[in-house]
Amino acid sequence: MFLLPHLLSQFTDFKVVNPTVRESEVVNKTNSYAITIKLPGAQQEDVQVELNEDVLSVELTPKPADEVGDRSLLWSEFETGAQTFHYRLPRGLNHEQISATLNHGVLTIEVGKLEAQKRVINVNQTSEAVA
Amino acid sequence: MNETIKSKEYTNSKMDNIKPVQPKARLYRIEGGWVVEVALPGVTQDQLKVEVEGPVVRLLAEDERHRYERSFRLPRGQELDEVEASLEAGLLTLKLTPRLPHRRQIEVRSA
Repeated sequence: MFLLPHLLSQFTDFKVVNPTVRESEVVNKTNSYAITIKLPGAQQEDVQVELNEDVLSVELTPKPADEVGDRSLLWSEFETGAQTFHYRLPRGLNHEQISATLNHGVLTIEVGKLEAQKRVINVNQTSEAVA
Repeated sequence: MNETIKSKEYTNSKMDNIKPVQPKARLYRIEGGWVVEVALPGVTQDQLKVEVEGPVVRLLAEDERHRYERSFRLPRGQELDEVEASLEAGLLTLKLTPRLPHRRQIEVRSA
């Protein structure tokens, strides 16, 4: 990083990161939870999704980007290397109903909820006097 | 910077109130130029615009919830000659090739 001032003078408009971009979110839907994670440049084979009890894990193992072909990396604001994200979801997940889609660098995972078991209680009516 | 590049013509009126964010980037040196990779997750080709003016390449993108803006300037005295842009899996790759400064040969006459 000590090279940065020199590079900045060469290539002026580089500024470091933008904290306002949200990298992931979890949405509570009626019948499922939808988790979206921004993974720009990720390919299908770079991503592994696992659901263990109520913990959803997403493992990202991108190819090293520093030396591809004859290009040399000068500097990067990207997070590099393997990363794992964990999300603890509420109980009552339907492990049979889970899908993961990678679309334009955005990973969307939908985990279904188990239907709540309903018990209907009958209300009895009596004409006896309440003690 | 030039006036045309500063203009706001490109914006979609309903997105005007959304503050543009600067997407993250990565810079490579290649023979005869640079490669810039810009993270634009969720952005599709039709939501992206790349403009070139002199030494500056500028990208503008809008999706349903975000506006992205960023520009890159070549080192002093260099103009952009060729810019190749490709978008794959939310990653924009710009290949920048500078035009070498114009050289003029001056004829030396003997007095």
